[in-house]
Parts: sequence; C-alpha cells; structure tokens
Amino acid sequence: MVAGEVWSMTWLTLRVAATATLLSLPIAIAMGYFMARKDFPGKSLLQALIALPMVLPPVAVGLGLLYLLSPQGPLAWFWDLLGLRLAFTPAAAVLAASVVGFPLLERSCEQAFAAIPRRFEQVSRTLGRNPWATFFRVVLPLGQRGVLYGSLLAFTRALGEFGATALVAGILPGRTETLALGIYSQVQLGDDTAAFALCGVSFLLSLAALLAAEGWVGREIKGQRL
Amino acid sequence: MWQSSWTQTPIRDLQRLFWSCVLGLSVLFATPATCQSHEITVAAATSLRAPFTQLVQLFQEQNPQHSISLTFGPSNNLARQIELGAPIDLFASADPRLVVSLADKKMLSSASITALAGNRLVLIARAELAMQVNRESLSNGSLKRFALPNNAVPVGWYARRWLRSQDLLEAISPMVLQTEHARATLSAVDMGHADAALVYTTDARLAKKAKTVLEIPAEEQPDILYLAAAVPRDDASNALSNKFLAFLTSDTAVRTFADAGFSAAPDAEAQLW
Repeated sequence: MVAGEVWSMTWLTLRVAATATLLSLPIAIAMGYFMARKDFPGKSLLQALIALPMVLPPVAVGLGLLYLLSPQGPLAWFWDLLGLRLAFTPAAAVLAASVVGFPLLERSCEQAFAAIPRRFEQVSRTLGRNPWATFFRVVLPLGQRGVLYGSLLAFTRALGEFGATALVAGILPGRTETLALGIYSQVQLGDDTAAFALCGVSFLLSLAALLAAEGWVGREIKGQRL
Repeated sequence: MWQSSWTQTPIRDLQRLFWSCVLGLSVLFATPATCQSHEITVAAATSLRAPFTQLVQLFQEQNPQHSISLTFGPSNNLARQIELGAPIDLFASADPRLVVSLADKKMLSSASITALAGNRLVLIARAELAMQVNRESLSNGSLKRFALPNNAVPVGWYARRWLRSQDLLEAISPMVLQTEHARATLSAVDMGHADAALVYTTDARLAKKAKTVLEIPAEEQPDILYLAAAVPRDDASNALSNKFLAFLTSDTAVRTFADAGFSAAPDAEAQLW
C-alpha cells in the first residue's frame, strides 16, 4: 500500500460522500418541507418508511439496491433503455451513500422547517411574495441551520458507509474502494499497517467534519435569535 | 434589525451555499472515474495477487500506451459482479466452474478461455502449534478454530473436497471460523485467530508466522485450475483483453507463476470444460 493509493482512496471517499450529500439535498429539503407542513392519512407510515434505511442493516439496503440495479432485476428495462449499468461503479457507491444518509438529512430539514412559525410565511404572502419566493426568502433562510447540520450528518454518515456500498459497488480499487472498504480489504489481506493507516485518515476526516459541524452550528446559534 | 438578521444576510449565505453546491457538483463530475477504451479492468482471484501484480507491471512496461487496473476478490464474488454487469473486462478465476458457467451465459467469451496455472493445498497451523498439528489432530479435538471460507469460495470448496475425502469434514464443521477468501484464510491463522487451515501452497509461502505442517500428497489433491477469460466488449477492449490473455501464457508469465509457487496448468484438465 503506497501513499498515492491512500490519497486517491481519500479523494474518492470525499467525492462519493460530497456527491451523495449534494444530490440528496434538494430532495430532502422538498420532502422535509412537505412533511413539516402537510398532514395527511398515513403520514406516520411515510415517515417510518423514510427513516427505514437508517435503521435497517446497511447490507439489507445494499441488497435491495443491487436488486434494483441488476440487469436481471425489475428495473432492467429501464437500465436497458438508458444503456446504463450502475452496479459496481462509483455511481452505485454514491447511490448507496445517498440512501443511508437521506433519512438523517430529511429528518433534520423537517424538524428545522416545523420549528418555523407559519405566521412568517403568511406575512410574506400578504406582502406579495409568491410561494416560491416565500420558501426561498423566508423558510429556507430560517431553517438553514437544520439543513446545514443535516447535510454534515449525512456527509459524515456517507464517509463511513460500508455495508450497502460493499454489496452494490463492490471493492474495485480506484473506482469504488472508499476508505471504509479499503480498511476491510487490508484487514482481510492481513496487512494491519495499511489498515491502521487508513483508519488514521478516516479518523482525521471524521474529526474534521464533526469539528466543522460544531463550529458552524455553534456560530449559527449565537447569530440567530428565534 | 429583523431585516438585516434574517432576510438579507441569510439570503447571501444561501446564495453562496447554492453556488458552492453547483460548483462542488461540477468539480466532482468534471473528474470522470469511468474508464476509457484503452484501459481494461482485470478481476482476479485473491490467490493470484502476487503474480498478477507483477505481470501487470511488466505488461505496462512493455505496452506503456495501455492501462490495466487490477481488482482482487474471492472468485465467486467476482463472477457474481460480472453477472450483474460490473465494469470488469477480464476474469481470472481459481475455480474453472465459474468461468464455464459465465461462458455458458455468454458473459465471458468461450473462445478466450485460457488455462493459467494449477495450485496445491497445504495444511498450515499457528506457529505455536506447528509441532503438534498433523492429520490426526484435525479429528481428535485438539484444535479449537479452523479457518475455512464457505463452499462457494474456491478454496473453501477445494478444502472441503479434501476434508470429505478424508472423512474429516464432520469433525471440522463445529470449529469452522468462516473467512472471506484464500488470503483472508491465511491471515486468520497468521494473526492467531484460527489454529489451522487449508490454504494454497502459494499463499502459505507468504505467511508471516503460520507454518506449513502438512503437504497434501499429490494423489489426494483436488484438481485446482486457474482459468482466465475476457468479457465481450467493444473491439478496442477485446483486443487489449486478448493481448493481455496472450501475455498471461507467455514464457515470462509461466516463469512468474512458477516463481510464485504455482504448478503448470494441467493440459488434460484444461480440456474439461
């Protein structure tokens, strides 16, 4: 295991986690807002379903994704139509990280939006702003702390994702081998030195992300009077 | 006051956030991770790790215009990945049945199937137990943990075949420590997590602490044969795969396999499929 490999693995891990978080962000914001503002029959069931990937064994999530992406699976016609084979590509790693991180992000957005008094939105509407402008100029700025915190949680979850990724993206060096998968394969090979080196990098990354979360969110709490 | 604290400043923050998201995503997507046509991915059994790493290096030195990326795993796992459409262009398996079954499904080109080498099983034990472990200790209860991959992993299948032929499988079953693949089986004994295991003789040479305690006699050896074959792709990839397959049977490759402890591919066996 050489330094170059460690760096490319770290860079890949960061790219996968960042892409997964950025891709889930708009969906989580939309869904979080919808869930915070609307009441309908079966809402608790939907909430439970959204949270499911967070509590299911990640390997089970991976198996589900693998089945959906497989050229023999129920969505085979769709992948054939697009000419895409996503299983065992970096895209599959991103997908796995998105799915396990999404509940954290969505729940955090939902709680942030639910805490905003509806009155602010109503005032914005009576002052002539349309619903979109109200959302982007009132709701989102007020909820940004929850959105940012959720994003960092989802990002850190994606950094460490193993079970689902291993199943749906495999362990292809340079392509899908993120730090967590790298640690596992080095342990399997009996190369503890390399495994510990990768652990060290993961440790630093996670610590940096958590410090960022604390610093960021702490600053926001002081700056925001609500 | 309110105006400044939650309308203007946050909006600028949000705009900044939005544009950094856009910028971030475009940077992430601008560096493509997909392979180009003059690059192929070779997936090989973990037991082939040492010779394949050397051979790919040699091949690249001779053909600097081509690029080959290597991935290793248990052969059964790699076969499944190929079946599910993984971006793998060439497969080198420790179990010929996997290659044949993929070729039957047209997921490997039958014409490209190449016999690479043979291998042998040896019994290894933890260094501390090396003097005590022998054929008898496998059945007399003196061992606590025996590292063995499941039946789908080639080395697990070969080892079980030998254990069954020696009427030892039942005695071993309760003490199995299931491992992932050939190399992981070796490292389980190396690290002292298991007392003994059946591994390839080529892996036993790489042991840090474990000792070989029994060479399985030739007449008891299961027929271990490594086959490689190409996944049908576009012309450029096929050409490169075939060039690398040809290199794998060159004199250089034969010497590399022999140096790593592999036996020559048995010709008669190579006709089995």
